[in-house]
Amino acid sequence: MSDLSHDANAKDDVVSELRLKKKWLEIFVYVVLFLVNAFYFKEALELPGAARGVGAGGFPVLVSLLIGVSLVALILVSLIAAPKNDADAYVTVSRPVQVALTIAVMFVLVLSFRAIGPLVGIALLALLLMWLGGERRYLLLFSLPPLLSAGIYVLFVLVLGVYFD
Amino acid sequence: MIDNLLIGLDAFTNPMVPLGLVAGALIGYLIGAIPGLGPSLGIALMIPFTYGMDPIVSIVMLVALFAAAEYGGAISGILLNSPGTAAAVATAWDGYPLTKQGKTGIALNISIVSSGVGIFASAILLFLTAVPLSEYALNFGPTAYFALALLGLSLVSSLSSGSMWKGALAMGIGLALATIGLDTQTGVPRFSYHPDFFEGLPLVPALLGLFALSEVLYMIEAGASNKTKNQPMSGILAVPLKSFYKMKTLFLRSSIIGYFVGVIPGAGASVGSFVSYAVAKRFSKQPEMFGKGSYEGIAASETANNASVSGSLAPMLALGIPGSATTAIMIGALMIHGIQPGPLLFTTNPQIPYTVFVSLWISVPIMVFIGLAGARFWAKVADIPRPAIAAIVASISLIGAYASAGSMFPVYVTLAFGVIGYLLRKTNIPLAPIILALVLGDMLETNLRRALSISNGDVTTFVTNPLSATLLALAVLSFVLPALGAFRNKIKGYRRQRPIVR
Repeated sequence: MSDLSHDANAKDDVVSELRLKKKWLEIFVYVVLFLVNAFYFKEALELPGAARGVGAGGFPVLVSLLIGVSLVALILVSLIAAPKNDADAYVTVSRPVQVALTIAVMFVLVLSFRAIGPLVGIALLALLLMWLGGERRYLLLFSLPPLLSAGIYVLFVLVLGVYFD
Repeated sequence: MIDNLLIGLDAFTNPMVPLGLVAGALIGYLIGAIPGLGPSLGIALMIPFTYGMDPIVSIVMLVALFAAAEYGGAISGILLNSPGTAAAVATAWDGYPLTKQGKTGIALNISIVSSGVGIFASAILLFLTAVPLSEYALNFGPTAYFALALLGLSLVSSLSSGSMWKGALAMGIGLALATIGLDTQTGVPRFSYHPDFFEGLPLVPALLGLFALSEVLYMIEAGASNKTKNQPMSGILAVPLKSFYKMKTLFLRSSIIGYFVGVIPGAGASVGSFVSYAVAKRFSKQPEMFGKGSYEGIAASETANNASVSGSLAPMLALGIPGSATTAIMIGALMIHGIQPGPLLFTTNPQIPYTVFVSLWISVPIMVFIGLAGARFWAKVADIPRPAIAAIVASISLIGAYASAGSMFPVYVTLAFGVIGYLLRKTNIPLAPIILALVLGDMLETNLRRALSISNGDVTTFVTNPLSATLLALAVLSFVLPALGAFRNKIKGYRRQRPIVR
């Protein structure tokens, strides 16, 4: 356990680092993008053309070709080029558990906004994000989220007239 | 032109306009003073608050925020050697040594006043160049517009990333996203698998996801940071006017450099400040002081990075072409209010560009005052706990996305783009070209199709028109030249590493 916080009471429970080989991460992302692009290309070809000039599908086909060529070049570069140094060879994700949990918390809370209401949802989201960010001062943890929710209510609902049905 | 300037001045009789300016300036300082947050994120976060505003109030607020974030970026750079924005890096080179010498107040004073001079002088240049540029652009046909949009995209894509292919990929992703929705010319649904997509991918939620939520994930990665030790501040008002007068040539030169670098799509405030810093060192009588606490170093960097704010507004207002992610986001904000920047803006809605010019001038004394009077407060802003900032940014992003359409669909888009943006940043794929392509995609496609339709499908129409041929050649060069430079450096490196055989 290490103390990363600027407050003696603010301690981080899980401090770790995930080191991924940059080369393989990049290739994974490029391959995923390539598959998505292949689908996009197929769909673009099915769009109607035009008697003269470019139809609805012409521009997407050109864009798809640009993406395809870029991806092939990037995959080749990733496979061939050697990293300049050790730092260049890896992609580091600090506190990966917290990052993954943050994404999960945001998804779950957004999906439950309708059930719990956006304002309660925002307060809960703020509380959990602060905790996942390493904040452990209870005063701050339990005062900022309701204040934030109240501030958002005042600004959006009372001042700007946005209603959350 | 003077009549139009009076229209711009007249806008300030509405009390909401100066109020918007002050609010934008305060928020901009706040955003700029927090290391890691920049004007792009600040403007993206503020857009949801402008939905119900008068368009003039909202554009004045966003421009003030943009400029103030550049002012504020220097504060943490000078005090902590941790610049709030990339454009303030060169400021920290001399500002932080001055802080270590106990001259924090002097360094802050020079940076704030220089920022004001940069904005004021560059706003004059903006006024003098944007209006004729917009009048010239009224003659552009679809071929020229297509080439111009492509040049803007190419420059941003090639300059914003170290890799030509990553820039091209980012541009392609943005253009592909821009094709989602009903085809504007035929009404055919494209890549729209749900009726929510018929109107296209919602721009603001996508922006909030890419810029704000991805940053939240980076903040979670960083965790709670160590508390910084603020330096005692003294002598903030102790800089004699004589010192500024001595730097009059430097101010003029840096303003011009900053402005014209700012005009170039993709170059941005950081390039402007570095170029200006290098030129100031070259012309200085005391070049040995640069990097050790030179007043000229701070002034050159700060004047130029603020002048580039006006520079980047020129292509946005006059041509409708954003030169940076920040101005692309601003275009998104204007489009929400049904305003399309470009040459017609000066005739259809002259109050918008002219109010921007006037607001830049009026903002100078306000921002200098806010900067100097609140220096101690801005210095403490860098200490706001990161987890709290992450929570605030995430909450505003999600609620802002909801408010954009009053439904949950944009919230899902924001969330999805937050994760996508995080992954793209991890693989060093730049986000700026994606946003620019999203904004320019429709313009690019419409003009391409219009030009080919007029020419009966003859693609040579783009090279037979001298203007579009020149712009297209520049677009190609913007991609090829950096790649050639990188290749040459690799060859040099290889030769250096190779053992000498005798």
